[in-house]
Amino acid sequence: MSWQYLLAWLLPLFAGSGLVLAIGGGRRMPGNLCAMLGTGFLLGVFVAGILCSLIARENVQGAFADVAPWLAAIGILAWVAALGLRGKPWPEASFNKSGLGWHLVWWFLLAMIAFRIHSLASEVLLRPTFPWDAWAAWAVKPKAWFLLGHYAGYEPMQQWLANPGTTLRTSAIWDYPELLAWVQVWFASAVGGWNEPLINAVWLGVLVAIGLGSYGNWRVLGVAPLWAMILAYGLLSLPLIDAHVALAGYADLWLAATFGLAVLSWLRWLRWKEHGQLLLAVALAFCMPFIKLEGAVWLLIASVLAGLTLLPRRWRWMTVGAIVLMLGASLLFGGLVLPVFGLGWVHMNWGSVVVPALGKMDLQWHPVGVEMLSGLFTLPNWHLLWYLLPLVLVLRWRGFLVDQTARWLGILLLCCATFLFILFFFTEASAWAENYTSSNRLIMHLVPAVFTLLALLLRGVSVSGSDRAPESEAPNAPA
Amino acid sequence: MRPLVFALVLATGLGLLLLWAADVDWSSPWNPEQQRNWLGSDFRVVMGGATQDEERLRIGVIGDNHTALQSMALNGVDAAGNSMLRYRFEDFPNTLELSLVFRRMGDEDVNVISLPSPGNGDEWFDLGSIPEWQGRITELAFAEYPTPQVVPPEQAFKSFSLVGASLASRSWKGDLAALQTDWFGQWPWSQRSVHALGRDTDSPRARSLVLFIAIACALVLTAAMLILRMRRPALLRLAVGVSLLAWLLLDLQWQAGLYSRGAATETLYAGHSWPDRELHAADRDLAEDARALKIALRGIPEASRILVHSGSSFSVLRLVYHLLPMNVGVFAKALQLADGKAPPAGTILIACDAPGWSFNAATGVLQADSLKIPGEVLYRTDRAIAFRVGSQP
Repeated sequence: MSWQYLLAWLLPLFAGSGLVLAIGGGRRMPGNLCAMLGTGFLLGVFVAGILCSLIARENVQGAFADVAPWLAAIGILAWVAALGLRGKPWPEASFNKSGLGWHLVWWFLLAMIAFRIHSLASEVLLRPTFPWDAWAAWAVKPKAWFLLGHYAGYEPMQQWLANPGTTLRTSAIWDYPELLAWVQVWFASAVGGWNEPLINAVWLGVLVAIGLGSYGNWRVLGVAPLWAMILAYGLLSLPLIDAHVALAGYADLWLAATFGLAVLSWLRWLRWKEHGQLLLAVALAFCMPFIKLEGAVWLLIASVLAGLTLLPRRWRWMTVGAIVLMLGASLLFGGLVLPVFGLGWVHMNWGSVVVPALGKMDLQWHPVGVEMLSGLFTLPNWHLLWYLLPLVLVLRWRGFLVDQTARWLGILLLCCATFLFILFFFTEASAWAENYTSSNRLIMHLVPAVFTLLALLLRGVSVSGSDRAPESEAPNAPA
Repeated sequence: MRPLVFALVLATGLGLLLLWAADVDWSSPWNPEQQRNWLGSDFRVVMGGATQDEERLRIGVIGDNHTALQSMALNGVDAAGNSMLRYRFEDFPNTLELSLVFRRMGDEDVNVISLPSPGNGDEWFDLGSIPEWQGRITELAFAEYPTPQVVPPEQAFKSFSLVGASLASRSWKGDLAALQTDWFGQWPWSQRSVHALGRDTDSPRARSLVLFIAIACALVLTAAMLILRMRRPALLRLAVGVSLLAWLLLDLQWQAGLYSRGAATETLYAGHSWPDRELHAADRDLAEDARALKIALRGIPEASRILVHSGSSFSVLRLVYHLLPMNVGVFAKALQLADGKAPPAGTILIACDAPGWSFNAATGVLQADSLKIPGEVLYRTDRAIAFRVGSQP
């Protein structure tokens, strides 16, 4: 392993964690370190990708050399700012309330996570890019740019054929977002060649980032260490998530990580009014459409909900009512056109939706319930997640009444689930559910946030005995 | 007394659940009433080469098309009365897949079904779940071939032994053994693995292990609530403990699969540096073709338009990927957009392993399926051709 490749990992971690600490971490709370490292790595990798796209277009093979100083400078500035703004430490939460047995469970689960990461590392570091869309879609642009040595634009094949004089290229994925492509360029340029296993290893980094970021932020939100570890193990042990690391190359894990960590920052803002966390949530959320087209939908839903949380309570229902009325009236009287960031102008009519990137989708019922249920409940994709979720919702529904973070997250996930329901049951995307090609992958985008909901609802449950209200495990709110 | 009742109810409930999962026929006996056993050495080699190793058949050479086949002629075995297949191999490579091939009386066609990969012991499969398993069976065979799209055919084979096989009537023992094979048998990565996990096969599967464990958890908690009259917080502790244990059980099974697939990956790639590793993937022939083409065409301008064709959409797209950073597109798509007209002069066509494509050196015309395209050859091997489209006459 070259020192450049090592730096390609460390610099995003250094810069990203500095940014997270500077922007969002004035308060020192239990879990902040993990949250900073997890969220920081993801943010840092995105910053590296964005810088590559801005600085290294004409010298893609030298992207690392060109961007690394900038990233280091951002990191130094961020850390200086972060250390200057550092607040007083908060008291550690109540791990000691759990007995020795549960303490051992915590360590056992950590060992299980480490073992899993080792297994996945040995797979991803050996294997050339394997899954179909990884090489047919996601790696096409970065590989072409890197081997060419410069950026090249892509266009649809019809235009490509009609304009033989241009230097543009073509691919079926000509309009796919390019942030991940630049991230791949960052690692390829550090390696000094198109070395697929070393480039794909960053998918493992994303998995670790999800684990660290989730564990740390759950702790900040008042979840006890044992519950946080149980849930982190649960999240990282999910077979479909592991498969996306072992067979790296798809964008879904990145979207799941970004959505999950953006949601956590948003919840931290809701709970502790850490304004920097709102900024972090916005930054991560705005990366989503640049990762994958579905990210635009998650961003839209999250933005509407985040906007509602900013409104005074009495205005919220009126705003929701006005939006619903406006949408309903527009659909009844000829449809409406909505600009959706990342998707373009979306035309909605009664019975059809036109999304520029996806084409026209006729809305009619498609009976794919059996396939969807099979993917969730019988295939070995999700262990027991979808059995336990409804159980926890039923047993801990009071959590929604007393905890506004759980309530807003519940509403967010309900809206996202409604979108997926409409997508799979009312559009031609039902074919993706029938042949199991993308239904589970799209569901995966929401899974880290689903675990956060579980964490919030189980927060007051003490496995060592007592069952308290959801708020009671949290450190006291600041005055 | 209550704990005893709880234990009894639990044992009975879990036992019944297991029988349901195994789809046990209540009327069948514990052991099969009839069973036909064959030693490995009873099988005849149809493809590949093998030697008898005492009672085993040691398959040491792979056959044409990288497939080995060992067959057994049967005298019209009744399918319905012999639906449980037992098979045992030794040293079966983790780079091969296994299928059962059978022929029915009065039917010239053979039927092929994918079988769970053999482990170290006996494996069982319920053939009664296969619609084609009916009438009288006249031939039974095992076929072994490289895992599709994962393993390069030239690299998959290592010698292994067929120890034996049998066909038996339904029994509780056989049904439970078939369930065990289904639940714990390992499966290779496939293109479907990033979408949905499990064995990527059309062969019928047993009831889901995930479903079984979920119902088992519900049973434990219900019994604890009703019989032990467990209430919060004890019930909560039990629920957390049972859920965690159940999750761990599923995860250990998943980890075992990861280990097995990791071993297959190591077999293929460990010990090779990166550029070589690309030549140990399933499409090494395409990668080699692309490398040779890139060298042969290195003098063409960077923006030259290249259209690629091959025998399947997989190989077309793989070729496109391997040829990067050339300015490549898919020939079939271009043809469709151009209403079937030949590409404009100057376009370079690359075809690899493309049936229906041929070049006539005498006329200088490339026959691309039904299209006749004049031009000049830039590179040509048995498998691949690079061709610059000339002006239409």
